Amino acid sequence: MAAYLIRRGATSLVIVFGISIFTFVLLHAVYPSPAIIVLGPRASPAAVNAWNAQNGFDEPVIVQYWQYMYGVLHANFGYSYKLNQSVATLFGERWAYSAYLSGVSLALAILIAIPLGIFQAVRRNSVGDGVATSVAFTFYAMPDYLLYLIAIQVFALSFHIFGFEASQSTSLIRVIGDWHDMTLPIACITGLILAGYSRYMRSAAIDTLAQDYIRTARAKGLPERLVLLRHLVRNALLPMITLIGLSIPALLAGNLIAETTFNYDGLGLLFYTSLGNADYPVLLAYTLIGAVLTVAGNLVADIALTVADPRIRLG
Amino acid sequence: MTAYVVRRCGTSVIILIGISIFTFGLLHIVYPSPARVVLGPRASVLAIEVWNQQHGFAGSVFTQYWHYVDGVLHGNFGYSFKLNQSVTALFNERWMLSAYLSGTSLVLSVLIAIPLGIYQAVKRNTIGDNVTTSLAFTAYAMPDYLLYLIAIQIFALSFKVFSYEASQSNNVITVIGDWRQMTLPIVCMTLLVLAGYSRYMRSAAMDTLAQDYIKVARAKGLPERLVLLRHLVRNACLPMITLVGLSIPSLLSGNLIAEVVFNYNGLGLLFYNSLQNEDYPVLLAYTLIGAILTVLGNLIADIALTVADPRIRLA
Repeated sequence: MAAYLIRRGATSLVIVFGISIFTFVLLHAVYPSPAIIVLGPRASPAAVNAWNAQNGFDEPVIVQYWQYMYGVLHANFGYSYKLNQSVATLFGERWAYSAYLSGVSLALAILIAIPLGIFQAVRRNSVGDGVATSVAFTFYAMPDYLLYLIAIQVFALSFHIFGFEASQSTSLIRVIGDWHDMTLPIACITGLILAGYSRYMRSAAIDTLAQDYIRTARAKGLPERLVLLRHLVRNALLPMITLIGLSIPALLAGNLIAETTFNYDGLGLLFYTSLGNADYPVLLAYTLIGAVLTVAGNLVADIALTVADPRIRLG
Repeated sequence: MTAYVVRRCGTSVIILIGISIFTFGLLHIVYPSPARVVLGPRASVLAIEVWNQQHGFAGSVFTQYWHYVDGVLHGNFGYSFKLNQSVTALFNERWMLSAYLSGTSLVLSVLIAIPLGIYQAVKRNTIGDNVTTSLAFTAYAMPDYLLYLIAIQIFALSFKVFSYEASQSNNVITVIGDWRQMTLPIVCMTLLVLAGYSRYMRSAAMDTLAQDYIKVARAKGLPERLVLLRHLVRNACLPMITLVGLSIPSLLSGNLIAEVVFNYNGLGLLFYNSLQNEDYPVLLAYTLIGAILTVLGNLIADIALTVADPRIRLA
């Protein structure tokens, strides 16, 4: 097990290293230097060259990559010349908001998906299963911003139950307490994640129900409640672990549309604004963090899976 | 088998009815009648009521739902009062364009993902595996429009190899022949789909490689090439069937961003414009078709899986 962990950790490091090279080179090709932004569009080529030389943007790509990575390892993600703030500060102010929105929605979705999926599997092809499947497919097929806009129209504009935008407070505690403004975004994101997760949970539970050990548990006269609780749930949960690990980066990117629609000042809205401003240092850092989260999510899911299910070969 | 197919189709039809009720109900709450759009913002309440009476928007929701479904079954998806055209005509002009873009990208990704995933599984933890994994994670974590914008900047604006927008022709034959304009969108979408597929294929191939029948095939002295071709590929491809089936609707909505960025006149761009115009009949039809495709993709994947793998229980 220890050898497996070390090997997987080392492979992940190599992959993160490769990702950082690709991301840096890709964005460097598009945006080699912020000189034009700092000096203005009318700056002479000589002034641009002088500025580049002074600030280290005339070095070869490899040297610049090295300097960037050196900074990243010291928690310095570059400087946004558009917003006149360091990227690390911009991210430091916002990541907790995004983590709160994603985290609560993901946790809620998992907590609902597990019993819902099992219910659908046990009572499959019943009216309840049909209704739940219809709702899940409607959410799954609906583009997310359409759902957000419908929710805003119905619950905020027509019936004035919730706020039409997310909390605008700059204190995380206030944001958490502000259910009036946060219910809509959280409920919508939960619904969208739940639509996918409940399907996976349903099919995992159906597969597990067909296993011999369930038949054995029933044959020995175990009450159905205990068959489900002791034998079904724990086995059917295994595929969910991988799914959750793979969803972590997608949540970051999925938040983007929710944060933009609900005007919530998290990382997603920052990315959206930066895309409009061509603020590449922010885009680079966001993509890099997203990729690192993908690798980390994968790694954590694989390790959790081997812990949860000792039958899995450490290949 | 026949009984299974009939039962699955029956369930799918019930789910489709459920989906149509939810989608219609949801959009009906937001947008009960197009009278305002037709008569203008200054129309009197009386005039609106009269118009609603004349055009069947005064009946109960159930009556209106019934009329809509009756229309859909006769190929009439309602009328876009903003664009002054029937939704069916709007979709007819565009669906081939979207199908070409999605279809080509999907086929290309599947064709690349299968050998790539097997290569990565056989040579796992080598340099080749790590480089492709890094590339896949970078593409997987990068928000799709950022990839499109980088591709446009590099391949269309910096090096004028390809065009900065997709083909503007309305004729599919012309669009297919126009490789200079279609290469960028197709390649970008293929990369994004491939990023996910190659990971699934890699892990499916790794699971298959650990099976006893592979060990037996090797032990009886079968050349490695034949072990891979005869025993590995066919078994490792089984999970891909479900994945491709589930990807069909997300390709439709994934197209949306690609079509907007590359200004390609397909269903995605139509949906995007309709969202801005609050053209609800189009939004309703798009969501409904997306949901139908989800159900169909699921159904076809399940049936294809039972055909490909007779071990699967017809539950």
